[in-house]
Amino acid sequence: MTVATLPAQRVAEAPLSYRKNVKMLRGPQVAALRSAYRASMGVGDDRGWQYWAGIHGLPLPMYCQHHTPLFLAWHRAYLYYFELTLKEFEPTVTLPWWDWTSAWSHRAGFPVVYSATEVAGQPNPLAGGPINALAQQQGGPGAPAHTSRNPDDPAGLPTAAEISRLLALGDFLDFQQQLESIHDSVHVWSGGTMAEIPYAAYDPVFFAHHCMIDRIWRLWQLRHPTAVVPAGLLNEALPPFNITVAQTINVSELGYDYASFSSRTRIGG
Amino acid sequence: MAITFELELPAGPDLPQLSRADLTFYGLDHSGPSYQVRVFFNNPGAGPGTPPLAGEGFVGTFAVFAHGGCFGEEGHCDVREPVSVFDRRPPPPLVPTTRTLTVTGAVRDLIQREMSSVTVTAVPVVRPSALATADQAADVLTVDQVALHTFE
Repeated sequence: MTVATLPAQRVAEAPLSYRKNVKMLRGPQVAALRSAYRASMGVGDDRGWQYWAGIHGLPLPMYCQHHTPLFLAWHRAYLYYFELTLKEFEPTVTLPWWDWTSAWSHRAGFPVVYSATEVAGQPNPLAGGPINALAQQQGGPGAPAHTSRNPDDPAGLPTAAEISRLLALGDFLDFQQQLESIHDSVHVWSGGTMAEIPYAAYDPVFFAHHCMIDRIWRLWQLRHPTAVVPAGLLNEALPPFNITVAQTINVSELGYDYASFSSRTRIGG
Repeated sequence: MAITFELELPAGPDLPQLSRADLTFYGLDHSGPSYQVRVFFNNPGAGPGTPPLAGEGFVGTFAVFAHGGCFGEEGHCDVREPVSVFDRRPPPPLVPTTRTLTVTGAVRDLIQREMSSVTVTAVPVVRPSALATADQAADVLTVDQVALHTFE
């Protein structure tokens, strides 16, 4: 008798990575994040931090898209490519999101993971860093040599009620414009280099803030599955990245999604 | 410098129920320092020192995350026109922007009081930052039009 065997079920070859709430990161996850940033900051070429921070602002050209219909898609691409470079240093790392609507943010402001200046006797790479020489030169007299923050009253950060109202909007462009406005308010609230486009991305907390923005877009997509990005935008390129708006729409195809918390353990193998 | 202007409100008998009211600022400049705009109704004397409280007519705030100046050579940040109908380059980054402040409760209240117009005062505030000083608030707010849109 011939026994037919089913092909073995394949374990997903490319499981999704989950971007997690920074407040919920466990010790080893924070350590891996810091290790990845530290390694990135130690590389001076186009794999390293200074290059990736500079894509957003100075040195010229400033590639970022603000106050345009490409705001959300461009920043999704930016986070995606930057996160890949971090994974080259620490394969398990994902960018965490900073929930500035949370009660603890409204009490303390920035997450302590990003605000502690030293960790175990070493400078915390998530607290800030130097700004590259060419960006300083192009910024002219008074250009900052190092990132800085000057946060306003934490009670002034956006609220969960504001995000609830935002998520109820049904039109993509309406949603995007109002989300960008909230995004702008967090940059201005942060003060220092975070408050100005040319230098904002030199502060690691920029990426935690933008993960929150990207997460809110993801939540809006889940709530409005039939709402679409206008067709005229879909084929727009998002330089310097080799990706179009259409290719940013589905985060699963980019290999990530958002969770609050995740832990994993190896069984066997 | 603060700007003050008058806007007409919906008026007349049998007004439809208002579900949302947006105050939309068109043509906002974002070439200079980042700034906040605090918006007050019927308080033309509002300024940077006016507390953002309902009793002062405060109805909300928005921020503009801006470019902090021009870092290129002469003409680098000029908003250029397409050179032809075949110009597929993206629009220049400093095309003025739009911000919408949802002010439903405040507008509903004015309509209930049978007001036919509202005096709006928009007060810019610049927080000192890497590239900005507070006195830049004097000329940071330029806007082409402001509209009140209401929805049923």
